[in-house]
Amino acid sequence: MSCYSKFLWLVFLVVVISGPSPVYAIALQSNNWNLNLFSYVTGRLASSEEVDGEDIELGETSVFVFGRLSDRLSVLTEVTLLPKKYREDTVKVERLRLRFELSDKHWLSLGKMHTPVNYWNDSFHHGRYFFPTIERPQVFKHFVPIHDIGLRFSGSRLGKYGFFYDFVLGSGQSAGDKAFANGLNSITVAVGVRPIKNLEIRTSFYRDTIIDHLSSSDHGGTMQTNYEDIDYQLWSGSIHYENNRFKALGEFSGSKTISDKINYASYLFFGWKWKPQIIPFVFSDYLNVDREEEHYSPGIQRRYGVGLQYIISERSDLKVELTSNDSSRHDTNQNYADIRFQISVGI
Amino acid sequence: MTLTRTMLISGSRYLWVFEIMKKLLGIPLVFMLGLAQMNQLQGDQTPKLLFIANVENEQIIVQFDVGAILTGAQTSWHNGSSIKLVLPGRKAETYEYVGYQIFQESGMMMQRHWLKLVFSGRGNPPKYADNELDMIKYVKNTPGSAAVIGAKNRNVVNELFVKEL
Repeated sequence: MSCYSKFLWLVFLVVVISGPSPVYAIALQSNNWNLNLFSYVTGRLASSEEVDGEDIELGETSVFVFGRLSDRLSVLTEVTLLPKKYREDTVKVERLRLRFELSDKHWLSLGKMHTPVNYWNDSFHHGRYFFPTIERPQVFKHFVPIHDIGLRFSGSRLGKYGFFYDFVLGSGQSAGDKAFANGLNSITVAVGVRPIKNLEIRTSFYRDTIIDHLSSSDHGGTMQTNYEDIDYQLWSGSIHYENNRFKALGEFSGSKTISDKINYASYLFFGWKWKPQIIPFVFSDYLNVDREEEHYSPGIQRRYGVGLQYIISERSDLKVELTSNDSSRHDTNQNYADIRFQISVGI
Repeated sequence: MTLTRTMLISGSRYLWVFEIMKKLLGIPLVFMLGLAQMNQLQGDQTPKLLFIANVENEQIIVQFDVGAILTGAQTSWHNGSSIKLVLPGRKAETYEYVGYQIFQESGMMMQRHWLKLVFSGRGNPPKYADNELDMIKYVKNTPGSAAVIGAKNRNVVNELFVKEL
């Protein structure tokens, strides 16, 4: 798609979003089925020409279907679409899961789902429409396992402090989309509390075995290793708070593979609801993969930024960010500032 | 003895988790707890809304947290059957009012909150109705359903479970 076509697409999107709304679009008329579409366009102007990526990029379009199969059983699917130019697989099944309600406080899920390792991955999924900032924390491109296929036991609103838990028996990252290709390979234990309204604190532990790690797609380690399959452990902690004046999110994680060296990352976000539709925000995003890491590409990445979210309607928003980026990976160094904007819609 | 020792050795492999927690948490936790405390000091609830539900046993619902149902934290009744929730749509008279009373935000933000919840897989999608009589009619005809309506309609919901908010 040429730059001109992208521009036209962007103008079209803005006109559609900002124009008079048709009959209320989110209204759910069907008794048992619900369909939503989420999409976005991102633009960027960087201070350095060596930065990867294009000025204007179309984002994933998520087709989200929720169906109630019976009083206790529901199905949720999420399929993303992206032109070949941006991604090898133009159509990807991101989630496909059945959920069975055991009671009002406990339920069971089966299928492909997002790992409940942190607040972000358990809440935002692929719709940028809900992201507090334009991009995910950088750690998602490195050592956070986004999806897993397996069986998940969950519970919430337990006790005085709103205790909740998730326990996942999964196929692991090496299995890809093949359920239990290597048997039961990963375990996730996540627990947390919602002690008061709007506050959530959670922690999780994830353990997996990365099969034949040298040929794994996320391998980037520079250290020599004699192991084919490696043990992978991840700890994550999240704090989320939102009221009618502020919203804040802290994501923290640490991981280790073979050596005793620990990789760690943190993402901090604070937004002030200045007006009902205007939210200025600041954020920082830090990632440190140890020099002696065997599997993931070592290096340090820092991002700091300020931004503004303008909620155009129930179905759309605009985010603008000014970001400072500093990255020193094992053979590349980049230091630049950029301005980004993103228009995201949910229909 | 050997078993205890083996357990200690196995356990020590995970001690790094506590080191990293100590390193990364702390200030952000204190900061957010402070914000949360500020929010606890706010809030003024005027009972101008009613929670209505079509349930067989009224005694059961009394034990439930109505706020949790309306905000999507609770999606099922005690027996596991889903709660069929109806909320005011954009043209409904109580749209903004319910947003501010239940979510302390606008009706638009209430919609976004629910859309996010559904998209994350945590909540069942609610229905939206543009007038209260449609909401009441739906609840009367649908076992397991619930809604929030204006208090002025109190006299037409006598056969339902009603709780003042």
